Amino acid sequence: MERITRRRFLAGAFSALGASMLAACGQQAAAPAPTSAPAATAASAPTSAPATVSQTGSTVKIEYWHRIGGDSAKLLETFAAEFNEQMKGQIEVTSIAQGNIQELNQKVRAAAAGGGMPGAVMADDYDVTQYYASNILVPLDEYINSPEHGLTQEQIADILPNQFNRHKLAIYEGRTMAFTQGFSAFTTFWNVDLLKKAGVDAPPASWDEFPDHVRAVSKANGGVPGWLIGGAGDRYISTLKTYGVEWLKEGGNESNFDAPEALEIMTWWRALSDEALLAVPQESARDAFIAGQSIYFMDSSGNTARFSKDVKFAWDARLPFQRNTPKPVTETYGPVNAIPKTSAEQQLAGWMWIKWLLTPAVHARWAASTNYFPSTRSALNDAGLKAYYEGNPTARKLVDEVAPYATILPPSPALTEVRGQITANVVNEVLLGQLSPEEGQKKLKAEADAAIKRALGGA
Amino acid sequence: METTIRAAIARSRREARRTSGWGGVIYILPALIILILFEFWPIFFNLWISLWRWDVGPVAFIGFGNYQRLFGEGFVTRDYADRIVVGEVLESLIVTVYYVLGRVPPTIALSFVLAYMLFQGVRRGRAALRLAYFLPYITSSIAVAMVFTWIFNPRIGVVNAVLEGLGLPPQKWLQDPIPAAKRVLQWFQVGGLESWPDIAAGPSMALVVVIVYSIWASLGYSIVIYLAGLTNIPSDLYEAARMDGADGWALLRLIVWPLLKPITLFLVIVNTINAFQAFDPIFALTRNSGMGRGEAGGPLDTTLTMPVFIFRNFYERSNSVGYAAAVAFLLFFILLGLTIVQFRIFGRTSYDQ
Amino acid sequence: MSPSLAQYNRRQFGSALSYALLIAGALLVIFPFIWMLLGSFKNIEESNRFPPTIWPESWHPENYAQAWNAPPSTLGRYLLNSTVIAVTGTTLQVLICTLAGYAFAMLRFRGREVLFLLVLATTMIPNEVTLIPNFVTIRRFPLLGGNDLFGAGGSGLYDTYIAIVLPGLAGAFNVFLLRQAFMTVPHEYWEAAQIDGCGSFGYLWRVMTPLTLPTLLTVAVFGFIGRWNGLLWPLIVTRSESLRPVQVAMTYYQTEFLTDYGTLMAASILVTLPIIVLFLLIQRQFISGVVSAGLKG
Repeated sequence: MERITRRRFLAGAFSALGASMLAACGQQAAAPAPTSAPAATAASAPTSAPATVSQTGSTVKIEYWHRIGGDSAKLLETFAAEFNEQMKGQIEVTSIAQGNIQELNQKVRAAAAGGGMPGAVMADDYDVTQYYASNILVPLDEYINSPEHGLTQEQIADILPNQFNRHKLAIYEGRTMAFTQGFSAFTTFWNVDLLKKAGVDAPPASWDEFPDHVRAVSKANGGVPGWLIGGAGDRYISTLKTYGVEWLKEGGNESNFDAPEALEIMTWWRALSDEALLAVPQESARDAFIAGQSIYFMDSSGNTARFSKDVKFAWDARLPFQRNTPKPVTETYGPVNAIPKTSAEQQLAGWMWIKWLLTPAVHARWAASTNYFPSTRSALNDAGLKAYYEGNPTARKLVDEVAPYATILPPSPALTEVRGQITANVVNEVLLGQLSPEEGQKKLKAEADAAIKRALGGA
Repeated sequence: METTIRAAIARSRREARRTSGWGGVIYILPALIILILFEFWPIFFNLWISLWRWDVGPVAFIGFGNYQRLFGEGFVTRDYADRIVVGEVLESLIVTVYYVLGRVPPTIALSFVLAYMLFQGVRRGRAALRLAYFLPYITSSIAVAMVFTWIFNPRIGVVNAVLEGLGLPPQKWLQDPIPAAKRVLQWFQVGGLESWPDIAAGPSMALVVVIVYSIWASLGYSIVIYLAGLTNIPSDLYEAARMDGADGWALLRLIVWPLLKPITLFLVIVNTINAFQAFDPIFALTRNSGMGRGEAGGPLDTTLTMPVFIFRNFYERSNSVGYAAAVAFLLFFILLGLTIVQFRIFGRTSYDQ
Repeated sequence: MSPSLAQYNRRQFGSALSYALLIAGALLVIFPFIWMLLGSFKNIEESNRFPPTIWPESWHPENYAQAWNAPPSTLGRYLLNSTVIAVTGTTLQVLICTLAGYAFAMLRFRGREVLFLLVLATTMIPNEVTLIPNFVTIRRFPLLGGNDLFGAGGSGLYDTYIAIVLPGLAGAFNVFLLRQAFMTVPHEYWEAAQIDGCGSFGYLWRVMTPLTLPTLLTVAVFGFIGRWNGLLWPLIVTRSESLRPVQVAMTYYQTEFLTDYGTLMAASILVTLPIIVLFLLIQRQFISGVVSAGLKG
């Protein structure tokens, strides 16, 4: 091949440049086309007649940022299309997937610095606390209580109290900072076949009996690990909660890791880990469970969807073991929706959108797609959701047995760091044998307290 | 011969200077504008941020507070048992140094050897071989990182299968926070480094895997540059040397290596800068190390190099954006200093090619 | 490469050994790609087996269909975006850096040395530092995207291809490489051009560029690769899927298909293949350019 002449090179380059310039200019204003709506007969959601949202009479355009993927993300786009149809001329919502939790966080931070906040944003509980501390969210109370656009008494009564008040907390000075859209909870799953082989009918009654129970069942099954933990930090804190101990002391200035229960958990976790019955594996504890390589799996209730399809053995799920708790308790997982500070119009539009998402028919479809617990009682009566539960009966069982007891962790701006890095690191160091449980507890307490102090603006 | 080349270049440069005084500025104007807007201005903005306590937005002006924290408890601090330990910034710096030292020298050495062999030993299939070595460089971090995490998966990975086939114990690779040196000594059942704190005993196994990946991915760039340099060596030099009776090794030693020194210096500097700033490979490989919630930095922070540390403070910690900005400045000055030192040590041969 | 050199070295160096080593090394280096290719046809059960199989037991090309359809607007959209971004960005970058490199190499103007050092210094600026300030700059870009003179009111260049491409246009390394390349052009050419009455731009256009095409190509290739692999910045500076490049789509796969390695690998292949094909096409020009440049010496 001849060496290309400069002319040909430049000709090629310029034509390529020209083509892409045309493409670049052409794409500037393109919004993503909504995917075609699947046959949804329950599509018409009974909303109250839309009162005027826009002050200028033109359509209010907002974005909705979320971190959902897969089919549920496409469902959100369908929802947006239906909402826009109903609100024709008034509001136009674009649902945009922003990747995972971290990427969504980055977008929010960039927008906080440079502008472009969406009308509504999906956030996890600890994000809400952080956003609140940075003063970028709008309290929802005036919207909820607004005579025109708010919720009626029946609607409020329809929402599960734990979920309605999920982000109406003292740390927010009693205001509501986020709105629910379904939830999941810390749940215990187990392999019924493995238990049967050891001659055990059911899991033990409480955490106290759990270690020996695991030892017995594992022995009968050739030493299979008892509990592979996905996300050491998160699960530790969730377990602590079911011991009746919250991670944060009243007042929010100090962590609660000096409680004796914290040490107890560390100790028996370490003991089981030394016997190879408990570990924190690489990518997926869940997949190890599905492959029959562990007895217990404790994580989000949302996993029932995956298990009902992929698991080949008999399995079951229940409320996590408890201890010393006056009432059963478990931890709420799952995201919520919040409204950033933008303009009055956009904020109102954002509110209309997240309110619409909770209307019974819509919410029921959402619950069926994501396998989140519905936040409203009326959704349970929906035919579509009922049909879904027939294919996944364990999920329905959990709605009764687990969902009512789910509450969130005491919020703090330091929670992300404490949960994700500090606790995870310490738990792993203890399990790996680098620290004794006592040292681990001391380290956890010291570092968590330092993080809290720093987050509250002290250090 | 080299001196005549140098003289010629010096002459042409002198002559070129006869062109007009300000005309040249127009040529560099587009580049300059872009650099000012997107590289220099961010430095000043970053400096501004580093003087604040900054969460999702600015919170309070704290002057040098972030720097105090950086050089104070960031370097040396007391742990939960009130012992004196290495602070998080210093720890991250050490990890970065391990990474750079583990990545740059092998890359340079390997790429030189490979480029030389490609250049003169091979006639047929050279294009295919060159493509093979260049392939890792042109593929993306995320796509290839997926393969690597699969290959090095402790449960189902190929590497562990090979190890087991050879009778060696399977490793936890990207999940393993123990220093590689300690692990190796464990295999041979030799004592030695047991009492050393992990941070001082070298890179962790996870970091070693990341280093291997980084070398693999960046070889291609250096090989191509070396190849270009090799083809630019005038062939009469070789002729003259051969007629003087020089053999292969002497050629290498006396002609090729000295003439390639400027390129080597360039590659050392470029690779060092890239290694210090490397983010994508580490992020892609350690994001799901299973121990956290999908945050990079590896098992027990043993792959938490400076860029990853900065990233974590920017996005995953509350009230730490200003702190991250201060650490970013530290990284910048370290790089600057390092580059200057490299220049001084290896002489100014790079400019006078 | 001169024939005499080749003959000579083959005698002295034992090319069989070199060959063997090079091939072994090459196999080791491309092993992950082979694994990627073979793995893309395995189903989820087989890809999670231990010890792993090399050759797929059953072939599942539907993994590719699944990978293609998984992201919100199918992978094709993202590939198109990446192509546009890479081509536009690279072309502009080559132009801008050539001008700058030429100026630093040949022309004299005030503050040249200082400016060059400043340019080099920018390579040491950590990327995390520039992310948010650049976002602010893009959004507040005056007189574009609905912004007034002071950059308020609209969204500037947010959510455009230009925004994705803009910050990287003046790569300092490229300027350096091009400067070096220009400096190796012998001085006689310059004198001849002066006699012909050629100005400095004409010299660049008619003489320098053809002579340094290999370096230009190198800069273009590296620039293209860099843009193809960009992730964080395109994510931050776009709002919608219609502009996002392929790397952003890859992050969806990681969360969606945790252990469905077959689909993950299929996605990886789809993302990687275009750039390999491109390089194959360019490679022959690349080589001949490098070779003829060598002969010139």
